[in-house]
Amino acid sequence: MNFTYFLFFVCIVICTLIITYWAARRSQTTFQFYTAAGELTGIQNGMAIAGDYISAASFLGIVGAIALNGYDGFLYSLGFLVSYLVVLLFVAEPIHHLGKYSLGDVICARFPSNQIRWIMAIGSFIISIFYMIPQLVASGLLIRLLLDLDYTTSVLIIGSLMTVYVVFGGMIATSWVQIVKTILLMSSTFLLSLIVFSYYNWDINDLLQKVKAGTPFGDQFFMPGHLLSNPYEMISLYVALILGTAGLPHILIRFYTVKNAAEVRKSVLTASWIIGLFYVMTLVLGLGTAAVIGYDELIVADSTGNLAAPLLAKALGGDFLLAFVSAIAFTTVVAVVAGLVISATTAFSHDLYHHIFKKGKTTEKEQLRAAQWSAFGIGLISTLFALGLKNINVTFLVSLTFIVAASSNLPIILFTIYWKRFSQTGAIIGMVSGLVASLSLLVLGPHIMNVENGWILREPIFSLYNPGIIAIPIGFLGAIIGSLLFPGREKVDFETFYIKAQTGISIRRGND
Amino acid sequence: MKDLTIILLERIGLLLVIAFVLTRIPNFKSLLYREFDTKMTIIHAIVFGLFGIASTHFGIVFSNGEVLKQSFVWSVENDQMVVSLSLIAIVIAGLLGGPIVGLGAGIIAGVHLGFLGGIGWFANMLVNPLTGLLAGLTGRFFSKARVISPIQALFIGVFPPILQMQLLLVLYPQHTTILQFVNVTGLPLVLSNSIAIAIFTAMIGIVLKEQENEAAIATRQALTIAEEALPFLQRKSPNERAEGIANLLYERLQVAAISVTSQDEVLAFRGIGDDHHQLGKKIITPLSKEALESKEVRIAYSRTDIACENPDCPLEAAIIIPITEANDTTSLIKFYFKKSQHIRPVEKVLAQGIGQLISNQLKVISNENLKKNILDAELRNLQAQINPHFLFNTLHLIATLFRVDPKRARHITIQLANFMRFNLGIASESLILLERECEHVKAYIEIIQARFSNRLQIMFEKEHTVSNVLIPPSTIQPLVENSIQHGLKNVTTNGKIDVFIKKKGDLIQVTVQDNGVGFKTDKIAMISQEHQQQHHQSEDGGVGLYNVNQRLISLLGEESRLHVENLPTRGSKVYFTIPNGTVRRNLNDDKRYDSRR
Amino acid sequence: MDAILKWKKERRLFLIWLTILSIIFYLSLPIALAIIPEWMNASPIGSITWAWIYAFLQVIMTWIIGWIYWIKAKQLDKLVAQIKQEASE
Repeated sequence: MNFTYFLFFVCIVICTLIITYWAARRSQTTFQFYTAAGELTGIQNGMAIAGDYISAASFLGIVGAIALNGYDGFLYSLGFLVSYLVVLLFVAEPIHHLGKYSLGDVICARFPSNQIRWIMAIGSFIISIFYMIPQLVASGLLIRLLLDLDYTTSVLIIGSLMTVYVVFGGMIATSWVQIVKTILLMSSTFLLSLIVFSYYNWDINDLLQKVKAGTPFGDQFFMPGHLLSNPYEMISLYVALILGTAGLPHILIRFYTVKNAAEVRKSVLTASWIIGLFYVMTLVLGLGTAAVIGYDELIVADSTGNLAAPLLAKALGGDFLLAFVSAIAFTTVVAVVAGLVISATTAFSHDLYHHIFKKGKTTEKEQLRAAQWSAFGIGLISTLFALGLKNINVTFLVSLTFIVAASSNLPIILFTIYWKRFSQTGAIIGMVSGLVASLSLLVLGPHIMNVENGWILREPIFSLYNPGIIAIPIGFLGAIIGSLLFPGREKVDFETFYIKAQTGISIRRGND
Repeated sequence: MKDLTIILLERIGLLLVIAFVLTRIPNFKSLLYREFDTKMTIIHAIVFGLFGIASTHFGIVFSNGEVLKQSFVWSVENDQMVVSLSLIAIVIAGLLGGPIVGLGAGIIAGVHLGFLGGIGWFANMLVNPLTGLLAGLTGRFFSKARVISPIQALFIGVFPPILQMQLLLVLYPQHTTILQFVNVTGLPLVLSNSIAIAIFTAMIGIVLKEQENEAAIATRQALTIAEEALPFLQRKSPNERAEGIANLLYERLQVAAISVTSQDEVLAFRGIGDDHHQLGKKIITPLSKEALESKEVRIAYSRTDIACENPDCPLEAAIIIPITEANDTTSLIKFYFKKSQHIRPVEKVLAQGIGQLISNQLKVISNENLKKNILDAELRNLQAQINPHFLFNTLHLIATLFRVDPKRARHITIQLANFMRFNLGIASESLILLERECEHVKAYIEIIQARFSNRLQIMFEKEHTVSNVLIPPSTIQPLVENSIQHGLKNVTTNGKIDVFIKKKGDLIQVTVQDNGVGFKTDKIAMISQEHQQQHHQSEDGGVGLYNVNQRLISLLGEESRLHVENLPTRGSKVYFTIPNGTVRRNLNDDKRYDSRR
Repeated sequence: MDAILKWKKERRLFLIWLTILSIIFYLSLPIALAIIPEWMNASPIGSITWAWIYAFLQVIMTWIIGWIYWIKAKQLDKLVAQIKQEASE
């Protein structure tokens, strides 16, 4: 373990812990614990969302994907970015107006019932944990490779740190950790990009030539098709990515941290600007890696290409820069994981504990305690999972998460807000069908059922790596059919509900 | 790398020692808590820029992958690199003074580095202003307090050196020396800078805390003094009051001398220079006159400002505090100092505070006095309403008249009823229309006239043009009563009382004169005396002249006071003036108070 | 109640148009890549192909569409304020 790395590592860790401490002193009520007391401005929240979103998979994975595969890697970036439009146009404001703490609140605003709470909580739970595990795994790999620590140790460190943040700091700590991390990440990525350009004396053509020289694809490098071999895959992936974000609980509950609709819009726009810029810069970094380091060396280090960014840093700036970039990557992971734990914690303690187990009768202190305990529990569970999953391909789990979110959560959310004939039973059926479809298609697909290195060593029954194009429509269909077959008695007038969702105004309607 | 870190920390230690010493110097301290305007911003930027330059020279030089063991940086060759500590000063400048100060200081330090030269000079030159600007913005972002906490400063301090290293890499591509430099000095710089910044921030925090503590102590002192001054302020004699205050202040505060003055002369003096600053001396300091006029604190910073006639006077500076009683400056309290530097912001705040508090105390006291007087008047009127003598006499008169002149008897009865009704109504209002008071007086006069028709003749004359004027109730009637009771007590025939109400310019004059024995001289003095030794009770239970006087003065001002004279021909004359067409005033409305003493 | 209806209509109209346009624009990329790969790989400017240009365009369009929505939403906000007023009367 290099002394420099260790010092840096410790430094950044101390700094984030301090922010948590500062936040912990203010996080005394449940409202504050869950949603930072509505204090964040739109721009701050946007930065936090960006921080939540740009996970280790983005920073490390995409740089690597672009370095290895050129255009297809960039498609991932595009999908991630464009998804924010879906959020902005359809989902962000209604969620802000309808709920208070969790996604369950939103659906229950229209269908108040325990069943809905259960199903939403389960959905949020699953998605959050699935999203969390690749982060922990990625961080484990990262730290193992940089600091020469054992994989298990690294995962344990990350897991416990993250739990500490959330248990003591609540949402504020994670919001500010996200914001700080966003600033750090953006500025260091920017500077790194500048260094790449300056390395080639600001001659872009030279850079592009070197890229082609550095990869076996040669001139073909810039052509699409190296990763996503057939068009169905491409479309399937693209659609899943675009629709997925609007179903991710840990992003959606961020809209509770600001105080009105205008700030919500600002948040989404800010986040999209930041994320967009980020992905343009990662493009530069990916190309830079291909040019400076070259395909072969990259593959040697890690076959998934996850180490592209750190290796680039080392080549351009020596150990110092490598240490810095790794520290940033570490903070990235921590921030994202903290955000995920919050959303999973919310699902558990607010939806299940408060509403269902205790039937809505808990004191604030009890709720806070429950939230903290559940944060601890979730941290523990996911750490344990991650320990056992070190050979799983990280991108697999990330895309799984998006597909699950897009096929189970998203139909429910959209129909609740926009479809008059949506029913409670339809919601449940839709959710279940989406989950089942996506999970089973993945299990039956080439990720898991792979003759060479899958969990199940057989020929895959379903041939697409990205089953989104099938699973998502199934989810939507399930919801539609369920509602048509089992129309419910509406307890809530849809017109009123719609207006409340879109504008936050509660109108009492007379006898019309 | 370890060695480098230690060397850097040593250099930084030197810098911090100098900084600490600087913060002990009062002038520098005052620099820190001055308000921020353009001038201060520029001064701050320059000071910190200079500090940044000094820090650069405290740095080390890097040559061929090694640290040159120089004592300080004097010059840099073209193939060497300077490891400058200027970022510390620049970050502090940004955190403390904001983005503009940071930018300014950064420009100064950066340009200096540019001139110093060596490899990487451009990056050095660029990173300083950039850091200053960013530090300023970040400081605002992180904390709304004036000074950021040391821990947060620690965190912020990590990044400027990183920025510097990255700028080096951006601007000097593929330069092996740079690469080496970054790797060797990067981490030591980060560590040393952030620690230094945190410590410096803590130091500044301490200085500001000190100032706060001083202010807190001063406030407490002011409040204690105000409390202790209360018994002195309640004294009636202005000289006693002044002496008491002067003594109290001199003992409680650390000043060279205290002087308490009235509007034109010194009432009390305590402290150095009391040989020539004596009681009774007139006020000559022009600033004092200004303070009297403007009702604001004035400060004399030099002997010429004080304008003391005595050339040996050791007092060089003074704070002049006007004390107001009811919107007018009635006296001054002066704090004297031996040197003008002794006047710090703390003293000024204290002076202001004490002035305010004492003025308030005085206002409260005068309010209480007024209330006492009003209460007095009310009590007496109550007595007047049920006074047996007057009633019996008048009823007797009515009974007599019944048989002789029933019409007259009826008339007198009505007048008696009016009179009593007026007496009842006095307690409720502080000012009434002049017409009502005239009716009150006329009712009284009619009754008296009926009783003493052969002994006494009372004439009442009011100019037509006088109208819409306000007057305190029961002010004219007592004067008439007084003339009857005392002036004409022993006069059996041809007694005359005249009551005139006439316009006199902007004022209305009310005169009651008689041709009786006149006032005894001591009585004249007693009536206009500000304090009374005994209750002046009249036999008919009416309101005493003293009380009338007090109420006139309190409600309408000093110029409305009673004038009591003996006429050169026999008799006495009592008169007062009231303003014409006064606005209705409320006793409780202090703002409209307009009395002069 | 008029305000409500008006607002609903405006908003619906706007959203539907925007959504349709966006879908067409965004999905054209993978579809184009699938259907007309040769054309996408033609390079009009130096070595930059249409595929890349389109990709960059998608980034920029995201920002632009976001901007358009922001402006429109602000307009709609005024209507919403009106509704709020009516509701509280």
